[in-house]
Amino acid sequence: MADTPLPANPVPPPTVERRAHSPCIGICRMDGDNRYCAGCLRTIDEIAAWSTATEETRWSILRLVEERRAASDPGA
Amino acid sequence: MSQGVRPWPASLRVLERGWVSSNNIVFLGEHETAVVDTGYARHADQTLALLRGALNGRPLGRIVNTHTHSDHIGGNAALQRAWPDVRTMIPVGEAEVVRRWNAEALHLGPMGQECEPFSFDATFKAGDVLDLGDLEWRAIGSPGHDMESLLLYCEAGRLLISADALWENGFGILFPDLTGETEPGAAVAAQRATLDTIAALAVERVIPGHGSPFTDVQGALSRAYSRLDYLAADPLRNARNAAKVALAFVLMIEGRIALADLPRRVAQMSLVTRINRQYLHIEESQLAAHLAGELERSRAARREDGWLIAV
Repeated sequence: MADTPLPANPVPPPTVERRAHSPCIGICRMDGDNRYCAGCLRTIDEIAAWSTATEETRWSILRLVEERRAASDPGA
Repeated sequence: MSQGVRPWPASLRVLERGWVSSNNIVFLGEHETAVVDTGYARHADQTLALLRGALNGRPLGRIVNTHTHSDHIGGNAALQRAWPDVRTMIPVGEAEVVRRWNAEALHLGPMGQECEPFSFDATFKAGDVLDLGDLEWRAIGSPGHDMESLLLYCEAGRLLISADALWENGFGILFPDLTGETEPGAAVAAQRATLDTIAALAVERVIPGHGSPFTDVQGALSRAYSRLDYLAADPLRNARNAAKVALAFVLMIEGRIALADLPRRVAQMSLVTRINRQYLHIEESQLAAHLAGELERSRAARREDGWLIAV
């Protein structure tokens, strides 16, 4: 189920104030291709990894989410 | 990460969901697998996909529910269909409302929520020891948010599954004070006793019903006590918050609700109208607009083009 690999060199560890927040917005169903969650744009593997992921990994997932959002919504 | 916290047991995985679906805690024992709490019904397909990934081809052996609110039991029916041999356990105090499918006690219709009925095979009670992931978990009574809810405590691993009795920042709404299930104020008192019980346990890591697992247990307890003091000082605070959160929950599930339809939707939520009659005393025709305004002020929603939209 592995999808896009996480960047090898993610963003530097954030400060406490910049703690990564879960992108879940409560629309928890996979999109038509079964690839990304229609709400948070994460893969099943990324959602499953979140609870024990390091801050670095969480930020790299959030960056991927942003990229996907930009790609799916050119007006954004 | 705090110093000296034991590593996660290899047999345990936390599937962190959001504020609508509860977290799902997956156990991979040598001989049996299990999941504690199954999320909200509408999210059951994703719950199933996440669980299949975590189980890696093994069948699900057991479903355990900490309490029977719709965001913790919503996946039960779908998981039972996917694994027909799975055994389901619920707290003994919830057996009657599940058996009779009491929508009011399960907070379904009165909260505008949905859930597919499910059957259960066994009950468990405070003091029982459950083997989950080859670890011993003791069930602990935790009245407050739900009078029958049970927590699961693994002393050897210093782990606590805290359901909605303790989150990193707060705890679940103290519903029993608002539903008429208990004398007003009884849930506040029960929640204080529950926090005292948790404070007396040796815990290094809490797996809450919602939000990430956390290790700053003292910090969470201190925030929870402050929150409880705030609520205890004026019963109107619990009531006002419950009405707002009830609508926010439905709004999160649907993404947006037509403003023209909002009064009808709110009128259907009998817990909200009950809270209004007892505490808020807002003109019935103004209640929906009032709650929409409250959600906007707390930045949970915005009004746009005839819609109330979740933010």
